[in-house]
Amino acid sequence: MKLSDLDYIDIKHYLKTTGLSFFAGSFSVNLKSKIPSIAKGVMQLYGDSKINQTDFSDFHIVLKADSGIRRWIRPRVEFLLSDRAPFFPMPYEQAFPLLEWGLNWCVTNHCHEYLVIHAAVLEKNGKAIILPGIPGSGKSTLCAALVNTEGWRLLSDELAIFDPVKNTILPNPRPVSLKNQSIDIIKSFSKTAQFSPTVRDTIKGSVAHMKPSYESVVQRRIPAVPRYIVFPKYNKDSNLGLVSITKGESFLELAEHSFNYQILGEQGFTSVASILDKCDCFKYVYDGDLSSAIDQMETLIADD
Amino acid sequence: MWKLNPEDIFLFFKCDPELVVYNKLTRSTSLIPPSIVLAYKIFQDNPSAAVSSDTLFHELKERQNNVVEICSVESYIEHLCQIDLIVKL
Amino acid sequence: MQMTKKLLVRDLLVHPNLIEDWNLTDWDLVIQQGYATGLLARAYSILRKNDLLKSIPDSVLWHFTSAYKLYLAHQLDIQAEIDFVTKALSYAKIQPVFLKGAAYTIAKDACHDGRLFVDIDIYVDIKELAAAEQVLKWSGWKGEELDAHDEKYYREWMHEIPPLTHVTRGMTLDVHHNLVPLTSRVSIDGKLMADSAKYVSSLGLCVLSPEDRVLHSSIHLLLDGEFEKGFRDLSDIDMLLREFSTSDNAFWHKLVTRAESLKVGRILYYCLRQTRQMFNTPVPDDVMNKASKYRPFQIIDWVMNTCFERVLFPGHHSCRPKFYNLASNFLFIRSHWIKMPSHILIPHLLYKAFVTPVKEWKLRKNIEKNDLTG
Repeated sequence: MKLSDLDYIDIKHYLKTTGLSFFAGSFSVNLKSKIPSIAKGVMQLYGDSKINQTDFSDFHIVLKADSGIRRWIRPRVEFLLSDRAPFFPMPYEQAFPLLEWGLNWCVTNHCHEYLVIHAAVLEKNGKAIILPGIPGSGKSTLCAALVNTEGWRLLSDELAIFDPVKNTILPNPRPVSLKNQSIDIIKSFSKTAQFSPTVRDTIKGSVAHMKPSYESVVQRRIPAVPRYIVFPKYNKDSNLGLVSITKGESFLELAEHSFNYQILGEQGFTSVASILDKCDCFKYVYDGDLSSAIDQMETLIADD
Repeated sequence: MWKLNPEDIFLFFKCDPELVVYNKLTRSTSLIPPSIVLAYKIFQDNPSAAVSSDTLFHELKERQNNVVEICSVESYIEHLCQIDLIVKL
Repeated sequence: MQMTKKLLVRDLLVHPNLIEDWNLTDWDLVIQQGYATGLLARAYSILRKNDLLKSIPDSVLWHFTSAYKLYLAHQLDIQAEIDFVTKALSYAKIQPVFLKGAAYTIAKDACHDGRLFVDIDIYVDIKELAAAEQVLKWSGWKGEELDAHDEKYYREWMHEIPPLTHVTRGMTLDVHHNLVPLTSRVSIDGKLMADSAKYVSSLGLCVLSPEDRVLHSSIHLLLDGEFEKGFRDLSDIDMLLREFSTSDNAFWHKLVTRAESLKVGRILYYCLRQTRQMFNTPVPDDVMNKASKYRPFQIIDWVMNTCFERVLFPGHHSCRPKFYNLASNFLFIRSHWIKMPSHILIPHLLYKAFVTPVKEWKLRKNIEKNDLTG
């Protein structure tokens, strides 16, 4: 049973009472909140996600608004995991982005069975491309464009979760986070993609989330084998394209982009080594032309 | 004079011509560039030998066709020492 | 022991075999309580010791193993940091006494396994404090920027210099020059504890004696006024008591005698009562009777124990007792009242109530606490 099988009224009811239990990517979540934008956001962007009918949830999350007088004076929202607040409260309008950022934090701070890399992962024809990216690299825009391209599946837009036992990437398909100009770019690129309302004035500017494709969510149990690592580098004046880089250089970059490389110690090292054994590595310098970027990625995948 | 440090405290990722090394004791990860990898190989080929900078210089000259400078050799030794791959005797 | 169905994390710690009868709903609750108390890694170590890991359902197991991995990585950092601190202070020929979590690690107390803690706490004699601060500064530790009020609070009224953070490693070091607050209505001779209680571990590092480790932890648990980690700290004390009483027949006698000579009989009484109640710690009746000699008048006894009972529960809605907030506020004010004379206490509380929130708001505007926005 999926969330879209529930009425909005039921979703709101569960969120306000016992909690809405569903799979956010590969992790089971019990979510409680009385905030309307949470109910709307979940309904809109998690419709294809499976309801969790077991009695166990990985993360018990509450998005809680100020009560009392504070409700009327610049109200805020707080993210709670097991009744503890790991971050400062944020402005009330940012409730849904806070949920998404909080869900990422839950994984990166607690899950050390895997090496978790700050990267997008997309797969086509059984081959996965890992796109590590710092803010401003263009990773999210490229990722969102590929999600909306036939044949591509989203494993994650932020967290490449590498299983060191199976040597595969664990899918974690969730709404794709987009900022500022990327929002309009992707809205023009894909007329069918669905977006949450844009939330302005966050720490990172304007933020919106895009619903992951049905295929991405439905295949969440199918891991992918990493085949390429592509470091996107957005440069509006250059479209140098794919430039090969050494595995040695990629090693240090991947380690630096990993949230828990240090925590895993030796296993972190062997995990990165394992990924690089299988992957060719590139830098991708592009000027924002999405069609040619997608062509380039298609060519890369086809080249085997 | 310098000598190879026992390799069991390290993990290696071989990506010729480079090498990535993990030190289990300090938990640090280092990328060794090609020229220094060649120098390290000489130590690895003579695990129990004491190697001087002169010896290293001559060995490198023999193995590589291009000329290597003695001051470069000294910097290679310094680098390998800093990451504990070799120790000063 | 209060056998409430809902305190599953406690049940796991005290009677690990109970988990064999648990269903998924129970596991769901114990994981939440584990995160709320910071005790998942300890729970893992206890289940592993009792060969019960195979009884954990597959979908649940990763929470335990990941928490323990985090603990292991953290342990390596702590051990390295203990070495750095020891080395730095040795330049000034100072041998610090390690306290709290660092002490449990050095002494390899059972409670150190799976125990996460963020700061290293050390004690140095007040005569050596200036030299210690200097040499630590040279070795890369830097004090927090505090305003005049907070700086005074730490130095004069608490018993530590403001926390030091290492500029490259980022670890925090708390340097205490007294083991209990200086201005105190409850007279505890901290110097006596420090002077005659030094005990050198097999690593050549100094920690307090076993009975002093218990008493020092008890003093802080019951007098500090902050109980966010109260359940975990009480669990530490329960484990220390069990371990020491098992390995040394004379331990209970030493504990009571020591409490009497340090004049902390009443604290020992409260502490033993609370661990017995929460964890069913096997405190012999005669020991409890001896400690009870120091109990206060009936009404005060009832008030104090009722308050402590409440605040020492984990901070999770599934097991938070009624009147928790009332008890917590009362003990908070009491702890400050104990530490400070009124002419210092009232301005301090006012400062904390009004000035600090404004400063924190300003600080938050300038920094991000967690950059999780990608």
